[in-house]
Formats: sequence, structure tokens, C-alpha cells
Amino acid sequence: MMKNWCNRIAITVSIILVVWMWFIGTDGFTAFTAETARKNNLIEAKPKFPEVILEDSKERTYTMESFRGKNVLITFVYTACTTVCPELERNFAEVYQSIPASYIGEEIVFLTISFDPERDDPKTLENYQQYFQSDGETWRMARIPDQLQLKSLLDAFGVIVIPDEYDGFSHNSAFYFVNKLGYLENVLDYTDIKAASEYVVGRLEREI
Amino acid sequence: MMKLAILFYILLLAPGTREGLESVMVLHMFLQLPLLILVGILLHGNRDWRFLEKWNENGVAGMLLAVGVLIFWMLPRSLDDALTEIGIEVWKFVSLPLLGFLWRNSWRKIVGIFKSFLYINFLSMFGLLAWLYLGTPVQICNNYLINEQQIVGAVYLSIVLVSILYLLYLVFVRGLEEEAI
Repeated sequence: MMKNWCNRIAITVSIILVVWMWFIGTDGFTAFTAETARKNNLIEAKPKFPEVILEDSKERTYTMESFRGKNVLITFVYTACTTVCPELERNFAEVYQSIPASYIGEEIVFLTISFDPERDDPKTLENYQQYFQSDGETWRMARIPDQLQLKSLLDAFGVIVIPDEYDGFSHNSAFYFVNKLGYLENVLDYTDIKAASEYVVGRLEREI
Repeated sequence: MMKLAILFYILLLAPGTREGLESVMVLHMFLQLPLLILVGILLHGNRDWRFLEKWNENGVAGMLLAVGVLIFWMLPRSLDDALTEIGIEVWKFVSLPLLGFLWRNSWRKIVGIFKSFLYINFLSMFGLLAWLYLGTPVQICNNYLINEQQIVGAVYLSIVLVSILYLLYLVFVRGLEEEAI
């Protein structure tokens, strides 16, 4: 009888321990991959876009200060990428097209940032723009020439870039919504175009 | 046995082996984790562990905990977190030997139906993971490259295929032979 009770207690404790372990490990069953956890943390922390110098496809240099008063939707890519980046940018283009024209350039600017400044000079970026009908004005493509500044941005926004053996990079992808004050406000799933576009339009309408 | 287990454990903890195994996803998943489980199995050895006769009488409690730990380490996130968070890394070196220990203690105690359940559960779980890792164009683990996760997927798939073949062998070759006798 005594044995029986010990056994039952042990089973109950086991179940509790297992559920507790899963709960802690997944932030309360909300994040099953490190990527989701990263996004959740970013949305909570709302980091400021660091003061880095961007150089765009028209060879203009500026910081994010020049977008003050406008929301900015950002992606991170490198143009030599053949896998995720083209899909990311195609989806980015679809979001761009789904935003009412009156908002474009006024309320929101699209920005593609390359984390491969060595290869992605303004000329290369200009070529890359043509694939996605980016106008270089309301949807800009830019690199960050200074490696240290680039690193500070990638760290702040949790973009993990690992060089791979074929001269390319492995990296995580998302749409980053930076608000008018220059703070990261949301990280959107780049595979769900409809949800991203609804969020952005809703967010812009709320502000007006 | 016990000395061997401790020796093994120290070897796995050594900075050189630890970093070496963790730098490649497939080694991390299919060498370091199983070896840590093996440490637990060796630690258990053939001893009685009297107190567990009372607390793990029918093996269910131990098995539930062991399976829970195993599933935890199948979450893509755990592998990533072990690399970036020291707490999770420590937990890995504690929980996996414990898993092996409990598994060794519980496996002979549990009844057939529970065993069948575990077989089916692991077959489907590994199949799901193989499909996940092989099929997705997205990087699941932030700290590893995409082609590494495809290798992991391929290993999962091989495990599933070999297991299925083994089960078929059990049922159709051994099972029919036994019937003939």
C-alpha cells in the first residue's frame, strides 16, 4: 500500500516537472524556436535604431535621423544570396504594392539594408533594385560601409549572420517596423504577406 | 561501470571536446546528446538502486520524466539556447545523464503496451522532425547553417527508415517463424 502511494506521488511529480520544464524552455509555450523567442524579446524591448551611416544606391549617405517623422519598414539581405533573400524581397515588394499610394513616401519608407558592404556597392544595389521595381526613393536599398556600425545594428536588431562555406551567409529574416521616433516597434513574419500588410496599413491609419 | 561513466562525463565536459561537438549541428544532436545519455546508462549499471523500487515501482514515473526530457531536447530552440545561455547548457549536462539513468531503470519495469506506445511515439516524432528539417527553406536554428539542419533531417529520416525496417523484420520474419513453431 505504502509502495503504491510512493509510486503515484512520483508519477505526479514527474508530470509536473516535465510540464514545468517545457513551460520554462518555451517561454510559456509561446516560442518553440530561438527565432520566435528572439522576435518576442525584440518586440518587448523596442530597441532604438543605432546611429549608423547608410550609403544608398544613389551614393547618398545619411543616418536614420533623415527618416524622422516617417515609419520605416526594413529588411536585411545580401544581393549575392540565392535562397531566402529573393523570396524575402519579392514578399517585401508585395507589401509595398499593397500600401495605399498616399502613404508611400509620406507616412512610410521602405528600406533594404545589405549586411555585405564589400560586395554590395551602390552600383550593385542599383542593379538589384530593378529586380523588385524598387524606385530607390520610397523604397531604398543601402549598405552600411563601416563594419563596426553594421555589427552594432545587427546586434541591436538581433539579426544573426553566419558566413557559410560558399562565400554566402546564413541569416534569419523578417520585416522590421521602425516607428517615427526611430524605435523598433514590431518584427513581422516575412512569409505572411497579408498579415504584414494589414498590420502596416492598420498601424498607419491609426496614426493619422 | 561507474568509473567509466565518470571518465566519460569528464571527457565530454572538457572544453575541447565540448566546443568541437557543439560547433557542428549533427554532432551536437546525434553524438553529444546520446553520449550524455550513455553516461547516465553506465552510471546506473546493474545495481539495484533500492529506493527506486519504491519510487519508480512500475517504471512509469521514471519513463515519463525521461521522455519529457528527451522531447525537451528535440525542440529546435533548446539546441540554440544551449549555445547562447549558460543555464540551458548546464541543464543539458544534468538532464541528459538523468534521462539515461531513468531510462535504464524504467525500461525493464514498464509493461508491453507502454513500450509499443513509446515506439510509435518516437517513430512519428522523428518522422515529423525529419520532414521539418528537410522540408523547410527557413533556418530553424539561428546558430547553425541551413545545410547543417538538412544533414540533421537526413539522419532523422535514416533512423525512421531503419526502425521501420526493423519493425517489419520483427513482425514478418521473426513473428511468422514463431508462429510456424
